[in-house]
Amino acid sequence: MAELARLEDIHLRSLEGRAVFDALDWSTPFGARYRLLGPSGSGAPDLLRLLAGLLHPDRGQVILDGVPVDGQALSHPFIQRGKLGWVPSNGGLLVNQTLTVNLALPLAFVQGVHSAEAEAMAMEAMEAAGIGPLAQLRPHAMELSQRWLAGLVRASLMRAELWLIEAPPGDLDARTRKRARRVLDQAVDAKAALIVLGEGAWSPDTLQAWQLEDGRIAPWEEP
Amino acid sequence: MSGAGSCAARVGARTRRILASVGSAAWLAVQVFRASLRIRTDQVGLIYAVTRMQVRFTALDALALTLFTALLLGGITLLQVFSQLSGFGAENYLSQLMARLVLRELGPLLVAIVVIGRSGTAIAAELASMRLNGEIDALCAMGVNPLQFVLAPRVVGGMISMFTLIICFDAAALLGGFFVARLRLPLSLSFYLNALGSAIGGKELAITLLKGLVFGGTVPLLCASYGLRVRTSPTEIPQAVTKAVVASLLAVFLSGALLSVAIYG
Repeated sequence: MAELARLEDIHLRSLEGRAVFDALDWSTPFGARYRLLGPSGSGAPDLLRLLAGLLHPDRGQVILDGVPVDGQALSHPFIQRGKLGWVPSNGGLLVNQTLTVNLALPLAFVQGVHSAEAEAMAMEAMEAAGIGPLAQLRPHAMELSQRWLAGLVRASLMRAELWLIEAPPGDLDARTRKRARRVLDQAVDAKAALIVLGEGAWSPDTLQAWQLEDGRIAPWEEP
Repeated sequence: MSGAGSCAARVGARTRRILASVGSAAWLAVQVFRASLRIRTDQVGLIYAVTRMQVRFTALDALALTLFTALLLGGITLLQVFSQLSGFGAENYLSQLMARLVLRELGPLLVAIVVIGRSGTAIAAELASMRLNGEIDALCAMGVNPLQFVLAPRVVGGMISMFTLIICFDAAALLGGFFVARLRLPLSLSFYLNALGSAIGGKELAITLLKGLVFGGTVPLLCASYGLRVRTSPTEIPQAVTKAVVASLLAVFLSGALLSVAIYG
C-alpha cells in the first residue's frame, strides 16, 4: 500500500534532555487504522506532533504525502491544503470565537469557501454530530469532551486524509462516544489514515495497535 | 572565574539576550510581512474582521481614556508654558511651542504608553495563552497561517489605531487644553487658533504619521513576539507580559528619538 506518512531515522530529545526517540523509523500507509500504546513518557503524543509538523526532530525527517516537512509546517503542501485532521485533547478551538466560527474558519480560510456557506456547512455538521445547540457558545462554556468532539467535527468538515487524534479528556460518556464514532464512521473514508491515542471512541479491535517503548515502535502483541 | 570576568560574562549574557530579543522580533516582522503578501483575496474578509476587532479594542475602547489624558495634559502644559513665556513677554509663541511639544513628542509618546498599557499587554497575554492552549498549533495543523490570521491583523490594527489615537490626542490636547487653561488665563481663541495654524506644517503631519505607523507596528509585534515565546507553563504568562511592556517602552522611546532627530535634526 502507498505511504501517506513516514518517519525516517527520527532522533528526538525531551526538554529535559531525555532521549524520546532514537533512530525511529515508521510509516503509515493510506487507509491505515492505528492506535498508539505506551507507558507514560513513551513519546506517543510527540509522535503525533511530529507527524503534524508541530514538533521538529533533532535528526531525521518526517515525510508527508511524499514531501519532507522542513522548517515551518505551514509551508507543506499537504498541510496547506487542510488535509491534516489534528484533534488535540482540548479540541484546539479558538477561545474567543463561537463554535460555529471555529468550525467554519478552516473551510473559509484554507479552502476558500464563502464565510456564510462555511458557517452553514459547520451548522449542518454540528447538528449531525448532536452538538448543534452549542453552535453559538464559546469553548470555555462547553465541557471538555464536547470541545474534543467539536475538534473531530472540524476535521471532518475539512475531509482530512491523515487524522491524528489525541485521547479525549477523561472518560467519554456513552452519548459522546456514540456521537464521535458516528463522526468518524462518516468522515474517515477508505483512503484516509487514522492514528489515535488512548481508548477514545473507537472499537479497539478495528485498529492495529502499536507499542511505543524505549524510543522504539513495534506492533503490539498481547501478553 | 574572577570577579571582573564574572561581571563581564553577566553583561555579555544580558547583551546577548537583548540582541536575541531584537533579532526575534525583527525575524517575526519579516515573516509577518512576507505572509501578508501571500494573503489571498478570499481571505481578506476574514482577516478584515479580526483587524476591525483589534481597532475597536485598541482605538475605540481607549478613546475616552486618551481624550481625558490629552485634555488634562494639554491644559497643564499650556498653563506651565504660558507662565514661563509670560515671564519673558513671549506669550505670542504659546501656540507654536504647544504645537511643537504636543505634535512632535508628547502626543505620540503618551498615546504609545496608553496603547502599550491596554493593548500591548492584552496581545502578549492572549498570544501566550493561545500558545499554551494549543490554539496556535491547531491553526498551523489546519493550514490556517497564524502570521496571516493572528499577527497581521494585530499589526495593521495597531498601526491604524495608534495613528487615529494620536490625531485625537493632539486635537484634544491643543484645543481642549486651551479651554482648560482659559479657566485661569486670559487667552483669545482666535489668536490661539491662528497661531496654531501657522505653526503646524508638513513636518508635524509627517512625524505624526511616521510615529503612528512605527509605534503602531512595533508594539503589537514585540508583544506578540514575547507572548509566543511562552512554552510550558501559565506562570510564564505574567513574565512574558512584563518583558513585552519593558521592551515596547524601550522601543518606543528609542524609535521616537531617532525619528525626531531624523526629521528635525
